[in-house]
Amino acid sequence: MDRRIRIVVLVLGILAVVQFFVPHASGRWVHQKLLDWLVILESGALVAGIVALARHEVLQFGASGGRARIYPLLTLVGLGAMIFSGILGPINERSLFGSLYAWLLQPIQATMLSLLVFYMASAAFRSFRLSSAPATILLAAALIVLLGRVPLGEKIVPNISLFSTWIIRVPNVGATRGLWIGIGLAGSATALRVILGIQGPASWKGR
Amino acid sequence: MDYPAVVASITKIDRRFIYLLVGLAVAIPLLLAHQAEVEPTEESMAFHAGVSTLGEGDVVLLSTDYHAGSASELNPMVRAFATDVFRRGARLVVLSLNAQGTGLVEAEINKIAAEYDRTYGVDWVFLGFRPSTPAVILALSASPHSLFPQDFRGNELAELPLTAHLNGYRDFSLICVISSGATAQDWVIYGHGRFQCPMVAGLSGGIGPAFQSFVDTHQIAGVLVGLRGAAEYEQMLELPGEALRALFAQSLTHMLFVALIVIGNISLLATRWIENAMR
Repeated sequence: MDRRIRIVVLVLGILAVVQFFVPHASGRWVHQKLLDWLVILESGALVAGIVALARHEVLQFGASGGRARIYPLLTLVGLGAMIFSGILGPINERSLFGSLYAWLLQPIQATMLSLLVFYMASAAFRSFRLSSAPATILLAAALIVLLGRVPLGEKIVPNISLFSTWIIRVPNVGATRGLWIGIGLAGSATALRVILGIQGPASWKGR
Repeated sequence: MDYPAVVASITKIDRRFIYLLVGLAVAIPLLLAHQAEVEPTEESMAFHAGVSTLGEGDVVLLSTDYHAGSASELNPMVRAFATDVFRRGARLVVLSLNAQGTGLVEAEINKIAAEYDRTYGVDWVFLGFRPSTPAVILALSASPHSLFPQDFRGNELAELPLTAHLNGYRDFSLICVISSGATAQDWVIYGHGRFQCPMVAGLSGGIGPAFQSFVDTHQIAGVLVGLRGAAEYEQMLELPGEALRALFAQSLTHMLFVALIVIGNISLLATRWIENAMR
């Protein structure tokens, strides 16, 4: 079984690479078919993910007792409500699905992200300290960017935006460019390992 | 005065007091509905310049790849962009590479289309969501009909006047990506890198700086970053909206952060100084 999977991955991987350099119509046809299959497989993975989540939450519900049961129950009810309202009714702003989305999911997610600001403010007061030379550089950069990115900061400290723009355009770009290159090289190396079958079959099974 | 006690009380300030200050810094400007004025950055002006090249009948692809948590800074960008496109008489094909993006944009663009008397299917179309970002971006280089046989509303794409004859990126005059995650990187690599599509982007404040390198290399023609980017765009369009109103709240919150960091460090230095003096 593992051998067959390796051969399929090798053939499809090489096909995907070769078609990139073949501008012929047949190459484009192969490319389009591979992409169609990729989207189909990912759609299938979404279904598998939903089933796995539901199974996990059912088991959690059975294993936990008392008030702890409410969390898996809420997850299952939320999952079921979104799935069935989407399948049974239309999906638009006036439908049940649209209402659940606009009046429950959207505020919940916005609240979750907004809460970060409160914790960040507390952490900035307690932990953002002049404890070492690197921490001092980080602190100075943070203060300049915090002031330079908003109109009020420019009014309090004139021309501060010039310094914040420099920080974003020079040291930030240098660091992120290095990161992108590293990510690209590591991604290519991993892709080659998978195509050539070096990556162990255990990882293909998701273990 | 008992200076050590004062410094100790500042250092041990209750976190709930800080939460209250943050709440007030956000809520008061929003309740006052004060409009901020902002100086546009080069990147935002380049974004606007990119959209300014559009003419009557041009087709634009808008990819809205964000979740509800980022809606407060990215929804104003989508609204302003759709308004800019419709004002220029261009047409809009919208899709989402984040499942949650579908619920966020359709209603917004629907309202703007009604305001500018634009017809669905003729002047704009919403394709909906498909998983697998790189595959979708690459597949759109050819006809979108195999990937999206129907639009979000269930209409056959081949029967809608706007999408019936679409045949890949060559038919789009501009691609605009509004994103809160890594999909903007996929658009740069697969969309611009392979097919040289002219591209502008609107990014959430958290990921914006990571994409500055793509702006410098002109892989992204112009970029709006965070709420400030949205506010700058609203100001350039003379379309005061949610972003310009919220920017004052963001300004005050930034100032509060600066004050907290400064006070925290002064109290730390004072504590050290007092400890050394008492030895």
